[in-house]
Amino acid sequence: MNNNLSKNDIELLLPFYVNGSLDANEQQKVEQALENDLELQQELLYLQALRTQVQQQQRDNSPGELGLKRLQKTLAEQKANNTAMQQTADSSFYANRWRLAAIAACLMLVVQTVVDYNSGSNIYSAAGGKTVIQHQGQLVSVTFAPDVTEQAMRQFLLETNVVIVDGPSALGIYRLSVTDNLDHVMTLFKARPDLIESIQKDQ
Amino acid sequence: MQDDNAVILLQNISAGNDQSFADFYRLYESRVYQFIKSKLNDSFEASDILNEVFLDVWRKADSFQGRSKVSTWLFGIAYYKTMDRLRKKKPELVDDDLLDIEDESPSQLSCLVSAENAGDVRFCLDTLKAAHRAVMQLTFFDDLSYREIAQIVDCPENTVKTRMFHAKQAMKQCLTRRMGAQ
Repeated sequence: MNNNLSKNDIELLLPFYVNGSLDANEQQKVEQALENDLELQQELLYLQALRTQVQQQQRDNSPGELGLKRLQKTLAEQKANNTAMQQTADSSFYANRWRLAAIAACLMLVVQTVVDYNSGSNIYSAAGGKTVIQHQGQLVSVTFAPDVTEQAMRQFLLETNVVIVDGPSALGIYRLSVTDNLDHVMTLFKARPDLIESIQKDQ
Repeated sequence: MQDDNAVILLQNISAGNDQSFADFYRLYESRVYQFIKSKLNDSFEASDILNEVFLDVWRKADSFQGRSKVSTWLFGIAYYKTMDRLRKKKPELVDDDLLDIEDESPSQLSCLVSAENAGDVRFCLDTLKAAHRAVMQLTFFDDLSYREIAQIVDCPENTVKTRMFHAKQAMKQCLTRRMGAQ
């Protein structure tokens, strides 16, 4: 705060001097100004009387406990409404969830049903998806050794230029498509008993 | 400390504690009501707004961040709701045009306000503009500092001082007029 407050500044602070809310520095400056200024002293008396009267005016009865009852009633109604809305939302959510589950199950059934496997042309297409798996080549069925790693399997299939087109079945059989010379590939597979447990040509 | 207790109550209210809400209401209800009533001068509307203020307390207790006193936060809600009601009802009463008032001589001041003319004081208080009456109420009934009042009514501290100055001057003018007419 500025050390030299004008009389106008002091007058603006006087009401807050009267209610005792000024900080110590402001209070000191107001008291210094009051010491030698009759006009400010008169103003102080006026404000003190005004404060007393304002406080005595405020004697209207407030709603009190009746107001609290009203509030509690309003809140209870709101809680009841919220609970009812939540229950409605929950039941709607569960109903919709079962509907969605039923629709999803039906779709899955349709997808599985319409997957078309055309062994004659060696074309596999999933009717439910946009991806069409297409291989022109001969098919062989293989089983891999139980302890073979995915990495070893992947590397071997890439080296021999074959791709998995189906499987594994419940018995662990993979169906592979061979585009290179079939006999040569069969030889390569049979040469790796550490990886390949069995192999046979499909009809 | 009342404010420490109020902070704890607010924390409990934000957790949905009904008893803390009732305690908080009892702690502040009368002061908030008088504050609202001082601006509206209508006990029914003041009760309505009081109800709205405390419903807001219930809903927004968790928004109190401790940057001000609880009473400042609470009176701020009350002030906003009251002024909003006034704007819808009588927009002309809310503007904050400053009055051009001639000052009275100091010798007259001490006899303007006394118990004998309490009726005149009430009349003159009622003629103040809402913004001036609010500051007068917060200063002389709630004994708040101008800094706290500035937070409540959301205006600069100097505006609070100026409003109080003009409220006081308006009271002088009104009381002088009424006493002169007797």
